[in-house]
Order: sequence, then structure tokens, then C-alpha cells
Amino acid sequence: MSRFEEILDEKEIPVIAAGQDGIIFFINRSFEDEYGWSEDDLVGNALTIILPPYTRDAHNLGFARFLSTEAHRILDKKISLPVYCKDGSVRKAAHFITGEKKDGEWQFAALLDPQTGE
Amino acid sequence: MEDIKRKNYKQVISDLQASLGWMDLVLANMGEGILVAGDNLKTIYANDAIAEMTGKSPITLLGVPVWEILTLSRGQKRLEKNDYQRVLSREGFEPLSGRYTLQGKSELTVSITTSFIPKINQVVFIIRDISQRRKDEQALMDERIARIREQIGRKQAEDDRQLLQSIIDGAQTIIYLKDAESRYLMVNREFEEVFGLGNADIKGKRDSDLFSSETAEILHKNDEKILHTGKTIKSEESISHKNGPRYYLSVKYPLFDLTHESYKLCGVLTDITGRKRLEESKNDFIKMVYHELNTPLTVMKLFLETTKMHIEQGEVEKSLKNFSKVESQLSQIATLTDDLLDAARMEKVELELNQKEFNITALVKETAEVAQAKTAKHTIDLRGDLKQHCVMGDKQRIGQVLLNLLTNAIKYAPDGGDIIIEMKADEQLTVSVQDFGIGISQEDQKHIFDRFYRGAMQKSEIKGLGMGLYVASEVIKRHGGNIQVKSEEGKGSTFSFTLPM
Repeated sequence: MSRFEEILDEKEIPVIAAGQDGIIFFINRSFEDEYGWSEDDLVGNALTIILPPYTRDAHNLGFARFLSTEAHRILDKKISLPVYCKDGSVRKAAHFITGEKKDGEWQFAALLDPQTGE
Repeated sequence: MEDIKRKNYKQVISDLQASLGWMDLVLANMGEGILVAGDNLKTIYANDAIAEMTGKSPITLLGVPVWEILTLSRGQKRLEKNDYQRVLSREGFEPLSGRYTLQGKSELTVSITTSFIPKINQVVFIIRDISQRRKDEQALMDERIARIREQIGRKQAEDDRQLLQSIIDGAQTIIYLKDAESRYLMVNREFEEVFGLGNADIKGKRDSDLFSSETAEILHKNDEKILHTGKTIKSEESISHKNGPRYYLSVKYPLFDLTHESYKLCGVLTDITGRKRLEESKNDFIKMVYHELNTPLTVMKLFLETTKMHIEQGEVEKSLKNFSKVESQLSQIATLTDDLLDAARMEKVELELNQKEFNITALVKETAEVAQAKTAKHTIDLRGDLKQHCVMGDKQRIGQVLLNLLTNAIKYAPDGGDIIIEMKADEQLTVSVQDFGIGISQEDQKHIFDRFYRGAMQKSEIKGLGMGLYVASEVIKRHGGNIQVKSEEGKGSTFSFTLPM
């Protein structure tokens, strides 16, 4: 099982997955419980929906750069980033993002472990 | 249809992503810091250059208000929250631009420009690190200042040198400056006039490179000792010149640097030839006075002894004759003492002139007759403008001058002959006395009016104290006139004096 598949199989920690077009295609139950979003809210929508507005442009630029250059700074390591909850609040979460190419297209899966006290 | 839309939609996203991709790449690699602020001036984008300037990773800057990231100051004033908020004032966009100091990872000098994107209410801050440029500008400025300072310093040094040169050039003594290796640094005009060598000739050279061994030895004498001991040394030196030796009082002293080490030496040579000659003349004069007084005294003593014998023998007539001879000797002594007294008076500027208008033509004629009475070998001839001219002056003293000139003419033309007195009257009155006697050498002519000077006459049989012409010259000068001599050895002399009319 690849790391990508392992993340998608995670039950305890919130998980979200998106394609290279930035469209969400999967969230787990834990993600729904933790951040208030439902599968209907997110799947088929842009990934930026779960990002605080002030980080969206930077995300788009960084995301696009990765696709252009495939050089990355944040994949496969733990970094702390904010998550935009459905109720409008922002929570910090330890992100672990990984990517995998399938049929020539990138797919990304991320663990968004909420950070207490944030 | 739905599939087509989806396909096109995916293509649009892909195109946009491609554009954003290279855009981010460009932004990331730009030298300028790019910071984009959104609502409430919170950071929504910061590139790698901003991270480099602030020392923080771009991700951590997201959402942070711009005033917490860009800690800018200009002079003593630091930009506060309000200053940034004014960028997006109610009235509109107020750009923040100019040169600031950015306190980030280190202190940087930055140039800032701001742009406003009204549609999305975002402000783009472009921050250029100009510290290096500033340093380069500063270095250039420092270099310019250093160059100007150097020029000023050089000019100051040149001014100082010129000033020193002017001071030493004005001195009537020979002055020279040498370094610790006895190489010449500077000399004054008097040095140049005496030795014929100026600053351009002597710089960096030693005495041995410039002068004869004899002169070099004198100029180099004691140099090492003075620099070694730091003491002043005075000595009297004689230096040969083309017109004969000259005597100098040499004073050499060291110059000290800030650490009191002697590093240069200065030499001052004062020409004391005149003083030396005067001393020699004085000694000769004393001998001469002794001789001039002793001779009549000896003669008088002899006559008096003979007279005593004649009286004892009752030979009154012979006694009377002897008395007359004694009287003549006394008269000689009286003339001698008068001359001495006059010379002493001249020295102390005590000579009083009894100035009145008098007929100079008449005085010349009377004096010529007196002089003629003293000699049978000479013929005194009056020529020129013999109209009755009057001048203001001391008749007795002018008569004394003229008689002195005539007496000298008689004395120095021992074989006799014509003595011509010529008078000229134009703007001033000129009286000249010409003889055709032994004449005076060029060297003696230079000193003929000096006190006690007898020159070559000293060795001759001709008597005199060397006072007469000195007294004559002083009398004429005090009347506002001048006296001069023209002479050729073996052909005679012409003395002439002028008086204002």
C-alpha cells in the first residue's frame, strides 16, 4: 500500500484528498467531525474552500508552481497550517501532505491533525 | 455537453495553473521583496526575498498584518500601524514610497513602492534592498570626501610650505633645512643668491653633491652631532666666494617631531663679514691713532728739549722758532682729535647742523683758495656753473666736506697736477672734485665711505685715520644729499656730492 493509499485509509485523523485541478474528491468522517464540513459541502469543490481567505492566493501560486516544476517544499513533511472551518473559524492543524501521480495526473492526500490550544 | 464543459473547465484551470506556476516562479526568484496585503492589510502573499529580508518563512507571514512584518523607519521615526493604514485611507490610496530602514534579520536600507489593486482591494508592496547600493554610494561618497580631504590636506601643506618659504625668503640670512640624512629639503632666497642654488637644485641632495669639499665640509659640519644630541651648535665659519672669503655666524639646530625625536635640522648663516672687517678696521685704527699721536708728540718732545737748551744758552730767536714748530705739531693733534670727536658724534647721531641759507659758490671759491694755499705742486681749477647759488645747510660743515675732498685730492696726487672743481646746478646742486692721482681700486671704492676704512692706503705712506670721507658722507647724507666716487687706478678719482636746492 502506498503512502497515498495509507492516508486515504486513515480513520482517526482528518483526511482530505484533491486532484491536480484542485478539486476535492475525498474527505473522511473524521474531517467532517473535526472541521464541520460535510462531504456534500466539499467534494467537487475547490480545495481553497478549507483555506483561510488570506492564504488562498499563496496556495494557488504554490500549487501551480508545483505542477509546473514538480519541485515542492511542503510534501511529505509535517507543517503547521491553518484550516478554515465551516463555521468561519480558523484552526491550526499539523498537515502531512503527500502526492502521487495516477494516469499522468497528480493526486494529493493530506492528514490535517488538529493542534490543541490553537 | 456537460462533458464538454467539464473538459473545457479542466483546460482553463490547467492553463491558469500554468500561468500561476511561472508567475510564482518569477516572484519567488525576484531580488525585490513582493508582499501582497488583503483585507485589513493582512499579508496574503510574501515571496522568498521578503523571507530573506525578514528572516521568516513566507508561509508563517500569511495573515500577519503588514506593519508587523515590515518594521520600517525613516530617520528616528518608525512607521506605526496608522502609517500603514493611511495607505488605504478613506479618501483613497496613499502610496507609501521612499527610502527606509528595514529592521529584519539585519538592518537593511530599502526602497519601497506600493501599488493598489482596487477591484480586489489589495496592496502590493515592492521592497528593494538597496543596502549594497547605499554602501556603494557611501563608499563612493567616502572616497570623494577622502579625495577632497587629501586635496585640502595637500593644499594646506602646500600653503604651509609657501608660507614657510615666504618667511625664510624675507630673512637677510642664509637659511636651509635638511632631513635626518642631511639631505636638503628647502633653502631660502639668500641661500640661492649666495650659492647660486635654489630649491629645485638642492632637493634630496647632500652637501657633497653640491659644493666644493671645503664648503661642503662647513655646511655639513656637526649635522650628525646636532641630530644625535638634539642641541644647538653655534660656530663662526669662513666660506670662499668668488669675491674672496666671507665670514658667517653659523647656528644649527634640530627640529623635533611629536615624539620629541630630532628629525630635521635647520641651519642659519648670518654674514658677519662687515662686522669682522669693522673689528679689523678698529684694530688698525687704534694702531693708526697711536702712530698719528705719537709722531707729533715725539717731535714736540724733541723740540722742547732743544728749546730748553736754547733758553739755557740765551738763544731766544731759536727758541721762538722751535715754539712755532711745536705749535704746528699741536695743531696736527688738534685736527686729529677734532676728527675723532666728529666720528664719535656721527656714531651717536649727535652731530648738530646749523642750517641756514648760504652762498655755496662763494664757499667753494673760499675753500679752493685755502686748499690752494696748502700746495704749490697742484693747480686748483674751478669750472662749470659758477653763478651765485644759494643752498640751505650748515656752511661750516659743507666747507669741511669740500676741504676734506680737496685735501685728499692733494694727498692722493702726490706728484701734483690739476685738481678740478666743477659745479652744476639743475634740480640739485652738484660739486665734484677731480684729481689725476693714484686712483682707487674697485674693491676699495665699495668701502671708501666706511668708518675707519683706509683700504690699500693703509699700506701706503699717506697718512690719515680713514675718518674724513666717513664724516663727509654723513654730513652730506644729513643734508639730504649724496656723495659718490668714480675712480680708476693710476688715472685719478672724482668725488662728487649733491645738495638739494
